[in-house]
Amino acid sequence: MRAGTLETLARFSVMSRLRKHENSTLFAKMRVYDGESLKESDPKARSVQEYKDAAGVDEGMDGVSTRFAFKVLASTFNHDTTEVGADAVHLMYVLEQAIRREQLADETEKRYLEFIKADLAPRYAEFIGNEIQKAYLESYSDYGQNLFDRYVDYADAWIEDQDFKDPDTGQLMNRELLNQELTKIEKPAGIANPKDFRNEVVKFSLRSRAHNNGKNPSWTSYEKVRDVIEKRIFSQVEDLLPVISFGSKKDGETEKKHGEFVERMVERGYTERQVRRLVEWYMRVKQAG
Amino acid sequence: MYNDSLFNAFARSFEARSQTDMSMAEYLESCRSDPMRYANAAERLLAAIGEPQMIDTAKDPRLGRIFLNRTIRSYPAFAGFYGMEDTIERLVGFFRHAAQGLEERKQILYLLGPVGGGKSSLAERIKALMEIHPIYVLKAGDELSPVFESPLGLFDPEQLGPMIEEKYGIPRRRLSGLMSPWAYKRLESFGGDISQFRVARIQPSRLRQIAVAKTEPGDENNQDISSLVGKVDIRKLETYAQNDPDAYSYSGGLNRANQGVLEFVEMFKAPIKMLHPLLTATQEGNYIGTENIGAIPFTGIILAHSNEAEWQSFKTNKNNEAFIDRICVIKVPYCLRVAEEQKIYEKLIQTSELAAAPCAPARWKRWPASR
Repeated sequence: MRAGTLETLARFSVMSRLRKHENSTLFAKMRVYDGESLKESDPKARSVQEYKDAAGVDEGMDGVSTRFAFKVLASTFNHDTTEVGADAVHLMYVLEQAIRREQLADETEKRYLEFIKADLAPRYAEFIGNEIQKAYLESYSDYGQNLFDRYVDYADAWIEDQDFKDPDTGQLMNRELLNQELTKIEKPAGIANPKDFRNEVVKFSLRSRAHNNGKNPSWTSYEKVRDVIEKRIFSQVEDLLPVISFGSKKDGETEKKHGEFVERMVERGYTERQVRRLVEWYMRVKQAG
Repeated sequence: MYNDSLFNAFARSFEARSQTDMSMAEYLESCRSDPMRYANAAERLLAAIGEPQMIDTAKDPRLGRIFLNRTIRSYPAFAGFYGMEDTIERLVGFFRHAAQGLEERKQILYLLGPVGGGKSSLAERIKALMEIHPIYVLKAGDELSPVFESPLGLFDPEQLGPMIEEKYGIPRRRLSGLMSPWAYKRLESFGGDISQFRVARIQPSRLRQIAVAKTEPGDENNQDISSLVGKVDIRKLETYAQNDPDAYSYSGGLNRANQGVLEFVEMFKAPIKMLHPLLTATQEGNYIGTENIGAIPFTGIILAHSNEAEWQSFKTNKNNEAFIDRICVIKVPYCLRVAEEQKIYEKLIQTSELAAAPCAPARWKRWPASR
């Protein structure tokens, strides 16, 4: 997991060098300096020029040096006793140790440790959570497709204001009930305007069906939909814990799925030891938070 | 076969770097068609840096936000210095102004920045660029000028300037009228016949300290200005008088870096008395040795660097005013962009054994924006 490791470290280095802005978080400032546009996600974010004007001429003249960062990286790579490799969990641990050893001024040390705790770790948890879910998800792609097909049918009926008859059970659903079911799927993703979203998804599916012999598109082919479905599947993290966690499994089925999950993570470029460590770390963070 | 070609390649590159001779007349003739023959250090450096690539940041959303849609210059000669566009632009600007003969020509270039921010790497790159274009050095018999002076120093701009400008197309401001005591002694023994001088074309070299020199602050107690301006070689006093130019050992940093670049590492760690020769060397283009044998010319660039704490304590001392006015400070801050900082680490890893360490998914998707 080199890239995530390097990015975590680079984020730390840059944050230690930035001046605080009165009305905006340091993390937002760092991202704006990196050329991201935060207009939509963070109304408090400023432009590069505004940040620079407020920071004065001495920004970038202190903070951790590139040499310090590279030394941390070197010991991260050699942290594991059996393999030379780096992941962000190790990095954050090594970084913390290095900061303490550095014997900085109390305030600086506190500030640096806070970067790790408040910004880097939660963000990395989010990222690695995503990775884990995706690796886990591929074995559940049938489930995802089913969920998606059903969502399209419900939404279509809801838009047309028709009752919907479930083809399997024969149960008749009225508009009220349809709305309930749809909301259940949308809620974890925080869809703000369900009416527009339902229209959008149905239109997308119909267009795709027209080109595709009447078949619904794959649920992964539309980023927004995928996001919603994934959020729905993983709205309860507990669902996923038995499969991803290392340790004795209660049945062969789960065992097999776990094996497949690890295999897919390895395909994504992690070593097996890293998978184990990252999963354990992720579960700890999730349970703590 | 492979080995053979290696030896040949080595011989070829050695030959390309070895010096070649020409007569004074040939040199002056060639100046007409090739201004690089009398170019000063800043001009040669600029030529080595080359033309920038213009990047219109308005066309790239990310760069546009960072650089406010300005058109920025990117110099291939400074590739690998990530996130330092502003610093490099100012640096090249300094050389450009120096090459145009503006005030920067007389200033000490001073890189100011935090530790590990890339000051030394920048200085190394500048010295490497200095090695690209050859310099032309006065030669008498088999002897190269010990201070690598330009042949043009022989000519007095007042008397011969117009004539040289007309005959050889060398602008008058190129003539300093300053020859070294060494050259003056030779000129006297030639009875004023400059055709007996020859001109050598030599390649600046960090390794041999030709036109590229480095001075470091040493022990407070025994370091004196001789590490900059050279000193009398006492073994030669047996045959020469103490004020004879030939009894002088031209081994100081300013001696070796004439027509090139002198790097002064951690300049403000050195005692202030050591720095005074730098003032006259840059302002007037000459300095005095430890023994008064006459003014020694200097036309190079002085490049100094140190970190902020030393600069601050130097700056607050009122006594140093004269010095501060003659310094051009260029700030070299840390990289403040995550993506570029990451590239720095990648570069560092590439040069180590870690390059092969496991990990690295091939496709790297950026982290999710925080929701």
